[in-house]
Amino acid sequence: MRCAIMDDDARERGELEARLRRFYRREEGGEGEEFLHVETFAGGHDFLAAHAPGRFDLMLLDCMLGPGRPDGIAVAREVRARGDRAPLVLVTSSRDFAVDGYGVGAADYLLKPVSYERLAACLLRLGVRRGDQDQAVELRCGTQTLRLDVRRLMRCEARGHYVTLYDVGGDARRVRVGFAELQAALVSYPQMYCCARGQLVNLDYVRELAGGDFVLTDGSRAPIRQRGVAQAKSDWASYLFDRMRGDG
Amino acid sequence: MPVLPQVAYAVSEQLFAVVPAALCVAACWDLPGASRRALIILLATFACLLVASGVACAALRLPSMTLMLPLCLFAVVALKLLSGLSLGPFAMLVATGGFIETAVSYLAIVVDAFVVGDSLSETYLAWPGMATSWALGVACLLGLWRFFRHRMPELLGSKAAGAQFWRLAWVVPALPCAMFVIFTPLETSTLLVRRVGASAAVAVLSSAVLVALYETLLWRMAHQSAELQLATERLHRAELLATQQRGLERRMAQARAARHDLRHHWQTVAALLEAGDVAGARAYVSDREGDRALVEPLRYCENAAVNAVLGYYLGQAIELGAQVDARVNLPATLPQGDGNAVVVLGNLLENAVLALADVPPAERVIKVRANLLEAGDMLVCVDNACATPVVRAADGSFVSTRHEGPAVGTASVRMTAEALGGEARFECDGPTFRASVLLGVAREGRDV
Repeated sequence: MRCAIMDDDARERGELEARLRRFYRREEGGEGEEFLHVETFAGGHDFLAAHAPGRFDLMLLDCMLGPGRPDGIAVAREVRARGDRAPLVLVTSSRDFAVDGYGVGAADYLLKPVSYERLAACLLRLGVRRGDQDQAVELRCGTQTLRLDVRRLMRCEARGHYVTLYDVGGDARRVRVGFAELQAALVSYPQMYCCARGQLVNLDYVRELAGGDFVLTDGSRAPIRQRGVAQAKSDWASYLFDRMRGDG
Repeated sequence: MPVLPQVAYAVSEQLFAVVPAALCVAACWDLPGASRRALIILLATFACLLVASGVACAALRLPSMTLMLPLCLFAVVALKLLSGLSLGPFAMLVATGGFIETAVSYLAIVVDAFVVGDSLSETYLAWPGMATSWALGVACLLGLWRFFRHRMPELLGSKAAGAQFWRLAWVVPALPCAMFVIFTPLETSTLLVRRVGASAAVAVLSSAVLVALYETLLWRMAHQSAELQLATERLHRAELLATQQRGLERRMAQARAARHDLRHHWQTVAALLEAGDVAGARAYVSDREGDRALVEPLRYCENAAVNAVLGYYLGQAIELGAQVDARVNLPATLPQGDGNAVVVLGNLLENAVLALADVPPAERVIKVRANLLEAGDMLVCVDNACATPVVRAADGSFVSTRHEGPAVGTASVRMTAEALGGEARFECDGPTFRASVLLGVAREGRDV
């Protein structure tokens, strides 16, 4: 877990890091320290110089930096402009400043002074523990075992005895596995939705419903069974409402 | 009679059924579930089949009704499938069309009997009847076009008319229609008796007047009900805008008070420090942590209109001592328009705050979530504690707990969501009322 903390106040930076380490010690036991790698930054320039998309799994950015420096929201905007979609938490002395962060898609905001309980609640909600990160499903494909990361799986399409698995990065893998077997393995993941015979779609990546299809964030389409569009629309809305209520 | 005129009369008699069919198609033209292309194809097919049926009837010397009735039945079933109308309103439409067809035909027979007299054919109408039926048909088409094209859809889609209304409404035009079919004389010579013919003509004309009055009154009722609903909706929107204004004024008053209090706090802290009472100054500052001016957020999101509504209602919830949990992530401009977001959030929050007032203080909880999806769709969830059980009417809508009649707020939210291609759900889960709303963005080819 690679985490970045950006705050111009050394004391607050240190306290936040200590609470972060405490959380991982509590949640991950002895291995927590090994799992967590924290980098701290005193200003936006330092942070942006070190930042690259994918380098950090979590970023805690102070909203209000000193005069003459880019504020946390400007830094967050730059992070997103670089194509980094990692969870980003704004740390602020007043929530009124965090409100301006709409465009940066901040996962949460923390009010200073950041209490351990509030930080822990935020981290639990973001699902940044080792167990949360690992949404892997193992499937037997003939003599081999296939490991699927459900978080990265966008959709699955069955043709005959084969299923093509489409990943977030645009990768497509064709594996010999029964569709019913795959569906049974993914049944505990509410985001995986069977929209037609031989079609599974990850609702986290659905952008909209158009022309009787689910349109995904990469522009690809997953067809919906005939006469099932209204039901699929209702099921998608239910999933979105549940996810939002759970603050996902 | 020579063959050619006989064919012409038979075809003409049958083809007249296109007039009421065209009026019925006009009424279905703008229905959301109907395909205009399919309706045109149905009308053209029906006309072709009627011509063929007319030729067949002339060739086989069959009365027109023999083949025309099954053809009309086919057209009715096809129109039902294509229009997507539910059975009650559709029965009303077909009964009205049927009434026009039978009334004109009956009147044409009577005119035929009066003019042609003893040489009346028992199988088809002669030229006076034919001329009368087509003259009346054209008059109906021109005179009733506006009613069928614009007023009938409004009547059929009226929300003021429930299932029970539609179960009976169609009987009034259907009854004279059935009577004309039953009482069409098998031997038209009976109409030559002057009293019988005159009575038949009076019966047709008086029933036509009654049916026209009945349908006009129904449309007036539906129209006024829709206007009343629209006015209520407008009034509600105006109230929400006023709420938004009150929210802004309240914020300004709070800011003024906070500035005044701040000066007072500085003076107090300065006095304590001058007296060397550092612990007292610290305690004083610590006590101020819980001040409402610090606890209550000034802003909930970037959108000014939504912010004002949230500030107003959540401020009231905070005043009630409720536990407020609000996460609203909305940009400065919304694809759905600020007005729609204000209507939805304003109605939901107004209901929520009213419900919180009835709950014991320790149980007052409100949770608000609002977000925009990547494609611009807006999600809103408002969950609040409630004490009064939710009452639903027979049609599933909510009954107001504050006044008599239906709940305006939830109906307004549902209407706004559905107008934007979204949906609104309301559930009462034990002591919690949960409202979930999806507001879509209208775009070509979108299902949401």
